[in-house]
Amino acid sequence: MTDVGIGWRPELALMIERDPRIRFVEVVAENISPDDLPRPLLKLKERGATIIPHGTGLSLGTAEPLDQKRLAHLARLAERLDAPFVSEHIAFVRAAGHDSGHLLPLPHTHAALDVLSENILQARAALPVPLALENIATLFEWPGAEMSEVAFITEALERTDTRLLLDVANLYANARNHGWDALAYLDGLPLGRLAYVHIAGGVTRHQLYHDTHAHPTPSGALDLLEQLSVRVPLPAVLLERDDHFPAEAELRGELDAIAAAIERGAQVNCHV
Amino acid sequence: MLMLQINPLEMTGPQFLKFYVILMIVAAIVARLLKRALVSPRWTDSRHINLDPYEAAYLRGGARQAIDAAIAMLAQRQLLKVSKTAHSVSTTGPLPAGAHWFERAVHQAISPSSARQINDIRSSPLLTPHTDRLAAQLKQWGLIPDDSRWQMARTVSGLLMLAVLGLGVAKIFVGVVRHRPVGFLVFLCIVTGIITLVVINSRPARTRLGEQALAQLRGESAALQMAARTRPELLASGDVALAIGLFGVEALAFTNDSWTDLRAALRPPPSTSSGASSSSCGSSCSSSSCGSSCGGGCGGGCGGCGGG
Repeated sequence: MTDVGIGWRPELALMIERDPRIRFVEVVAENISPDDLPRPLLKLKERGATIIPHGTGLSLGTAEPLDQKRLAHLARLAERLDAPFVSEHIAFVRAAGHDSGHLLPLPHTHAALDVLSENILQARAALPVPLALENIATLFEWPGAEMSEVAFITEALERTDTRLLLDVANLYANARNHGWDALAYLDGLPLGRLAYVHIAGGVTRHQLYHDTHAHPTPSGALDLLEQLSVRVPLPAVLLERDDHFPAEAELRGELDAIAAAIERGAQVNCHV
Repeated sequence: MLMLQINPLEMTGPQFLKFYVILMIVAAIVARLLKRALVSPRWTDSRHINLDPYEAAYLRGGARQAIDAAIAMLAQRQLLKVSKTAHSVSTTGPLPAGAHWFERAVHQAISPSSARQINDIRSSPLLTPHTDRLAAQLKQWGLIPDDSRWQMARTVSGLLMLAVLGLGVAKIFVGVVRHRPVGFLVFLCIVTGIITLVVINSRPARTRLGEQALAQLRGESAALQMAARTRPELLASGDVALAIGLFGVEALAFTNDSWTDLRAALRPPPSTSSGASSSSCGSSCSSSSCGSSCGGGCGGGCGGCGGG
């Protein structure tokens, strides 16, 4: 049975606390302190929920040594939360002292792959639990790619023996914005390494799809989730909602739609 | 043993003054601890207690907080019109069925035809039986001091302070008889008298069990507090009431104009801020000298009567 969870945010803390079906959440690591965990999170932990620290600022793609303070913060959070994984992004957010404030795509080159792999190995060595890495949504691709994104990610995970956090909403966004074949992408990934799945909503503006985490999940992303569920049993799926929070009934409806999509896919291959 | 053999009345003036200052401070601390212990019930488990929003508000800040919470709830449901400048409210229509009995009482205490000052509503005699009913429930649970325990606690702690005062007065007589200066001692006895008055008139807002229950409830409601701070518009009305009760009107980050007006209206007018503790506490407690009709409310709500 796949756990369907939601990203823990202060705005959603009450809803999560009151819904015993939610047994899987993720916290943005940069927003909490391991020495002063919010009480609602501690209550969730007491009731046996799985809580994953999700980093956004490690910048694994930067051609510089990793920030040891950030790594130590992630490690300490994983210990305090008894997390089975720590997750981060295949991206860079800073370079040469400048912080972009955004998750930026890496060039799909062998040199970038070497840098990324080296940093992943550094991070893994510093973390007490396995690391799961997420594909990001991008509005542009760097020129001069030497391989596809799926090949880039697969090689990085295989080289470093790292788990995959697959964001189907990011894949949906990239497929729409860059014309990728999303199903071929799924087929190219090392799905045996799948730790869990992200899904979220977005909006189309000026012919580009933006993965906002502030709008309802589009049916296209749910279709991709279903297709993923056809291919592999899903350990857990997590809805990310960061802004414009709707009424609880609407969010519960989204969680139900996610569970239904997983179920439809699983029935095709009799995973359940 | 040496101290027991020394008669304080035979000490020299400076020796006695040092001794008396220490004795006064120790007695004040012991009296405060005694008072707190004697008003608290013997049972210590508050886990079974389930407070409604207005009981929680009363426990947090007395009658005034409960009334403010009801005004806030009625305003949030558009059943009251608020004037922030006049610090007044008026009703906009009848209450829907199923409203909490305390909301009904507050609604009835507000005139439908003309605006009523919030301070007048807080001290309205029409509401006293209703705030007493909240207090009675909290007393029954042992969360605020009941009257018999409070009488015993103030008697015991008051007697302790009076004994210290008596010793000081006796030494003044000794000093006068021996033609010694007693000015400093008179001053210390006046201080002791003031402390005695404070001890016997400051009823603790909550018992130890009450403090424990309030802390526990607030801790358990941390998620509610977060929701109130971040997206109050999505809370059910029962949750809004509980958030107001436990954390106060300030804890809800509604951004609409009527809520902003309400928060401004509930704040004391600047001109009366310096006398807030005496005026607002006095208005609801004067008839009973912070006795049974205002229960523990004056302590937390106004500060001036409390602090025990």
